Amino acid sequence: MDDNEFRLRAFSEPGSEDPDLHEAARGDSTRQRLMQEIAELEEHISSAIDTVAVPSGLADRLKQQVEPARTGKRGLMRFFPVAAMVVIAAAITLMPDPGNRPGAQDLAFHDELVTHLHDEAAAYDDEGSTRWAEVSGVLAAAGLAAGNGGASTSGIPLRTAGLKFARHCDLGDAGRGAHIVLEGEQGPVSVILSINKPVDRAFIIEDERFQGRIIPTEYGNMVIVGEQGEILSGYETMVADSVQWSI
Amino acid sequence: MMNEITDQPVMDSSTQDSDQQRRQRYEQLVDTCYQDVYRYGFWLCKNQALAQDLVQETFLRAWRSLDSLQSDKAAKAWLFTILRRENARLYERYRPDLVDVEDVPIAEADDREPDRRMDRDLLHSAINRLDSDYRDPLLLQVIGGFSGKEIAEILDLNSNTVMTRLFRARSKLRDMFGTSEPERDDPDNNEN
Repeated sequence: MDDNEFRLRAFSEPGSEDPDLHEAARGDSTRQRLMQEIAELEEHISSAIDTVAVPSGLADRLKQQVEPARTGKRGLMRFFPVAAMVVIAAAITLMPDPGNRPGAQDLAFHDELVTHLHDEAAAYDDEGSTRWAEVSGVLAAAGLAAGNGGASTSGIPLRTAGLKFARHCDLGDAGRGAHIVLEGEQGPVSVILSINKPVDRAFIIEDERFQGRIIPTEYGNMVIVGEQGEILSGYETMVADSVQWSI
Repeated sequence: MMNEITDQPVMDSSTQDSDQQRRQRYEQLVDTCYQDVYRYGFWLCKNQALAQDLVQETFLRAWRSLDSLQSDKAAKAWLFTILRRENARLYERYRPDLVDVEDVPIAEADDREPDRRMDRDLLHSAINRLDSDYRDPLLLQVIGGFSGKEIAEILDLNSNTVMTRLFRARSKLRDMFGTSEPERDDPDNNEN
């Protein structure tokens, strides 16, 4: 075995028990030294690569994600027991009316949003479903994060909420945001998280087809919009609980 | 006597046994492979949250097509291939700013000796700087324990190319790590 072949095999398969390789090193101190050096390097490489900490509980989550399917109810409401539904209904009743009419800048954002929703609806109406990895990627690109599959304090992971569509969204003045569409009871439910000037106060979206709210957040706005008749407060809670800004 | 009518799905015992066996096979797959799959996913996407999502998607897809896995011996290579495909799909469309791989939490046991930690940090950085053509086969070999032939199949390359890339990867790390004699010419160049 010539030097070139020896080096190739020694470097490409450290720890190889190939008798030809060991025979080729026998009686040659330079080759033996090289093999020893490569073995030491390999120990460092393995240590560096393998010491990445694996998140605790990952195995359990992987097993739980293939639990048998739940009931056939569509939309977020399938995750709530009856008692929780009563609480949600009460919350809607008690929620204060946003009241005051928004300012001109906020109204301009509202109008841009409604136009955007109608434009995008054609795309997501036909969309079957999307993968959590795509949703996660869109969120990350917008400066948002939803770790652990979007687990929320309400106990409903975003990843299990009937994801239909995820796309970058350049709504508003900052050009950075995420538009996620979930499957609701009455049709698609849009969640838009945009990084732009927060509206002065939460206000209702007015449109013939869509209903929902624009809600100011720390770095921009959260918009939850569904078809007429969709109950959206559960979505507001779920998204607010499960998604964090990471900018 | 007539059978009682219920609204439960009708499943005979053989179906239940089969479902249970399938589930046991899946759980065994998780227990055996999830750590390596996560580590490989992390080195591919360099972001903990994305790596977790990638791994979850990978195992979800594996669950759906578990029946197509002929031999459990091939399971790890199969999972790594699924993960690579998922990662490619993700990054074809989105390229978010990622946390540097050096910020990753390290398993505690390795963090105690300062010299060892410094070596590890240097190598993390060096591995991260490798071109992906060299890093990919190295990760597959070190994390997955795959042979050159198996790596060639996963990466859709020929075996000689894989061996050359493994040679170069380690040569470069040796140079970056600063313990080596000056780099010599490639002993073999079978890249194609």
